[in-house]
Amino acid sequence: MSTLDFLQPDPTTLFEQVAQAGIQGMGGGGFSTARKLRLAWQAKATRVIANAVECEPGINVDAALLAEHSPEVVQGLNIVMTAIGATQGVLAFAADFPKSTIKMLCQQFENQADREPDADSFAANQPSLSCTPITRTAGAGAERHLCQQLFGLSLEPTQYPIDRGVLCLNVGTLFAIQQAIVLGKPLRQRLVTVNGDTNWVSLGTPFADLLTLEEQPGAKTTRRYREGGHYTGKLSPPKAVVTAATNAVWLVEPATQTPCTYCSRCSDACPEALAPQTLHRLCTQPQVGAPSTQASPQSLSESALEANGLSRCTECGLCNNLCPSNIDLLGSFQQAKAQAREQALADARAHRAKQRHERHVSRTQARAQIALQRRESRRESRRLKQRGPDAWR
Amino acid sequence: MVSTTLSATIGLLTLLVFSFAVLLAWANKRWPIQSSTLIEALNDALPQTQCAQCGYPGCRPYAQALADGQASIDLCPPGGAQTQQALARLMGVEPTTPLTDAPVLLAQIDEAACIGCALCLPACPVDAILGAKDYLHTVLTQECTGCELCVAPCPVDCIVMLEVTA
Repeated sequence: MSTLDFLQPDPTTLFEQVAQAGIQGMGGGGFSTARKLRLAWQAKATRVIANAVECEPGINVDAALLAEHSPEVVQGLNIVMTAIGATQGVLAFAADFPKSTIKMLCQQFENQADREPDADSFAANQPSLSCTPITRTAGAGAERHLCQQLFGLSLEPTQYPIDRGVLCLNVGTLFAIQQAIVLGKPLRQRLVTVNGDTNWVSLGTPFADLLTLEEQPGAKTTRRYREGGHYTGKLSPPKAVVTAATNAVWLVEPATQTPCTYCSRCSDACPEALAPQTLHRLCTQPQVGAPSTQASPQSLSESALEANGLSRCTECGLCNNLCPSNIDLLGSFQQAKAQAREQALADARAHRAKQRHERHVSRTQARAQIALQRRESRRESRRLKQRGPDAWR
Repeated sequence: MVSTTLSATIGLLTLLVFSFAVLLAWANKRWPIQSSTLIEALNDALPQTQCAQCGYPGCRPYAQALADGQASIDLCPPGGAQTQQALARLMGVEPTTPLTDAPVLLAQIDEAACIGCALCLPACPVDAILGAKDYLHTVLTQECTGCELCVAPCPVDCIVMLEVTA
């Protein structure tokens, strides 16, 4: 089965097909895949990473997908590479996948490398396919880390991998692309690790329904769910449903929150070297220690939060997971950030209104001035007329 | 001996006090306290709706009146409690009348009823109504401050104020 049989002559048609199939990034980001492909095509990306480095312990989505469907994933990778004109494809997988899966993957890629190019365009720029095991450490599956580890590219903080010619897609996304292009199937289901078991789940399934089998019927309303991994996952609202970006769902025991003991575990662990306990205190008690010279308590707490680096918080959630008092640090940061955003919008609006009002006033005054001058000059000419034609002498 | 030291000390201190008094008096003349900075700070604390509900034609005139001590701090309904607190801090007084936060409003023109009279255009303090005589008018929602000043001039009552929810 040749890959190129399924390809349109124009890559934009393929992007349109991907968009029609409703494919989103399935690694957790949920970015529109069609847009990502179009960006990579426009940026003439030369390298594609198929990302199967699940760095969060307990999630087996990528491993399960590769164990079952690695040929489809490789075909998806081929489709993407041909569409955007990339020459190098790398499948990065976690080094502690089951041995059988790794062996199968290696065979698969040897076959791909040995195979004769099946069309002219392939002969023109011979694409190379390879697979690389990546040691599973925290954050190893992030695109930036993969760029660094696979190609030695260190990205600037403002750069994305696409800026350096690298397109990074989750293997689940590649599988979805293959299904959409080859079989015409839209994205309707995905693999989800539910409390440790990985299964195919239809998109839109409420979390409550995923776990009904194990639970008492009455407990449904009080349960809480964590979406994503144990480190970077987030507590979900009770009515959350499975989306394309949901890779794992866990049932969380409701924890009782106790006051902060200043144990400093959160600040020791924070990857951005922030002090979460201080930030949390500022978020929850804005007026404490507010000097009276400040214009408003609101702006004071905001400037203090800014000084303590709230905007640098990447919402990784490590502090939440380490807190022995079960304080929802991340929740308070997210709330404070949302408030700051709203305040900034309101401030910008007020500033614009001020400027517009100033312009309005100056224009109105200028018009009144002109009208006054006109009236004066009319009156003057009338007076001259009344005095007769010889008046000027 | 003691009396000499005492008188010298008194003389020196008197001289010092006098010279500092002269210095301060001169500095006060040379660099007078500018009320414009206070006006600017007060103006920044106001919500800039330019609604004139305070009785002054806009936020800046109200800030001016506040700085001159002619107006009280509880005249700004759109600003609500938060603005009142900010003004109280800047003016160094305690808020007296409790104000509640007013809902955010937005003007909307019923386009079927609008006759294109252009009477609402000059009424808008922030030029947020787009239109011309005999042409349909519309409100720029991004710029509208919800001041309701356009409602009264409309001869056909086609402008309604909508409450913005979240």
